[in-house]
Amino acid sequence: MQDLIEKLKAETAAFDIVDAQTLDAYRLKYLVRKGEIAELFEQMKSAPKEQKPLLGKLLNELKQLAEAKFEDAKARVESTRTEETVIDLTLPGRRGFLGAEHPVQKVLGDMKRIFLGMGFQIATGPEIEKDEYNFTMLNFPPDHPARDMQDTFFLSKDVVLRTHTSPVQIRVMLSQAPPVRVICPGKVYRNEDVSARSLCVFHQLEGLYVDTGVTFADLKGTLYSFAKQMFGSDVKIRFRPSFFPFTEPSAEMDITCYLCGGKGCRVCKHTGWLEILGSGMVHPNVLRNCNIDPERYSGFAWGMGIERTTLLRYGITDIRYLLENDVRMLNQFE
Amino acid sequence: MMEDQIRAVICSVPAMAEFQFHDFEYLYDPDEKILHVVFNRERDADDSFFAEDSGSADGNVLIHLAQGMIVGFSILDTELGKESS
Repeated sequence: MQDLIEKLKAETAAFDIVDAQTLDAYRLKYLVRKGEIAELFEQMKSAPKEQKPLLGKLLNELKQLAEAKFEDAKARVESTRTEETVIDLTLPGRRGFLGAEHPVQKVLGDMKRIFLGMGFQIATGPEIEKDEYNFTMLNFPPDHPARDMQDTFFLSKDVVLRTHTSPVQIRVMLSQAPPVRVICPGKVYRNEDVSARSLCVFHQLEGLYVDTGVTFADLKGTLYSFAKQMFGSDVKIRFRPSFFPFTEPSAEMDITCYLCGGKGCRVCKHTGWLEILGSGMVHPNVLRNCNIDPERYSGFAWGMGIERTTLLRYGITDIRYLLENDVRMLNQFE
Repeated sequence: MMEDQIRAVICSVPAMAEFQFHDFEYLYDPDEKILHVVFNRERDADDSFFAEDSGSADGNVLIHLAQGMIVGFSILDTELGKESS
């Protein structure tokens, strides 16, 4: 009997418990009511009376060792099992949430790509601008209403937050001789109430082409090509006479309504046309102010609001949605 | 009295000291010469250990557990209780 106890002691010590399955196998083999250690306790009852104290002591030792090994292994296996639970490979993966380009930036990016493809370069300038560049050199007369404090943010008597990106054109013409082919994207500021159709800060993209022999036909061709690439090959355009201090002649360009195709709908106010930009031939005074001879050179310029184009392109009814950063709206442009 | 003798065994085993005033039942097995004492009939023993320090007990004592709680014991190689069988 003593040999049996020693043998079982060696056997339990050698038992390799590596996971939950082998842990349970160990428990069922040695520690349960019908296990091998309990069996030895049963056998002890029939051992000679004088041997019982020794056998009982040995059996107690065996039992304690076997139980201690079980508890250690159980703690080890359960800690491993916790890690397994954390990394549950059967769970579905977590989807990463990617940001999306803002619709205004998306439209602006499309415009840039189109004009860069035509050979224009991007020019930028300061948003805090001299009155001289923002108004005077662009042929705004001293009493022009745009110079009123009701329309323009004046930082001082001679410094303003630029009301358009045209001063960038002035800076370009002052710094380089024709030919000039640039687009000027950027933020502009107007002293206006924020409403469904207007903001006090918005984006513009203006363009300028100055060279010898530039005509209104070049203007039309360039902007028609842009409209077809931007709004679809079926789009039609029309020019309406207009007035801007820095261009002569001036015109506003409309495209056929992208929604109804020109038949008339709510978006185009049943006219069939949507106004998208202002344009014109660069005024000789502006060229002269930039030391360019208007007898030799001519040019055209245009400008459009990016937010307005974005509203038209996506059928958004309120310009303020573009600034609210509401993900329910922005998610639609992923 | 038989009960007093059994209680003396209980008192002689430190592990069972808390049961010295506890009610119990007993049964003598004449074939194996074992006296079985039960504190809690409702629970079946699932484990046992040998009471190494049962100094004054008449015979060797095997204590029975159910989920770690003592539920009874057996006195091995004893004449105690023989008359009651």
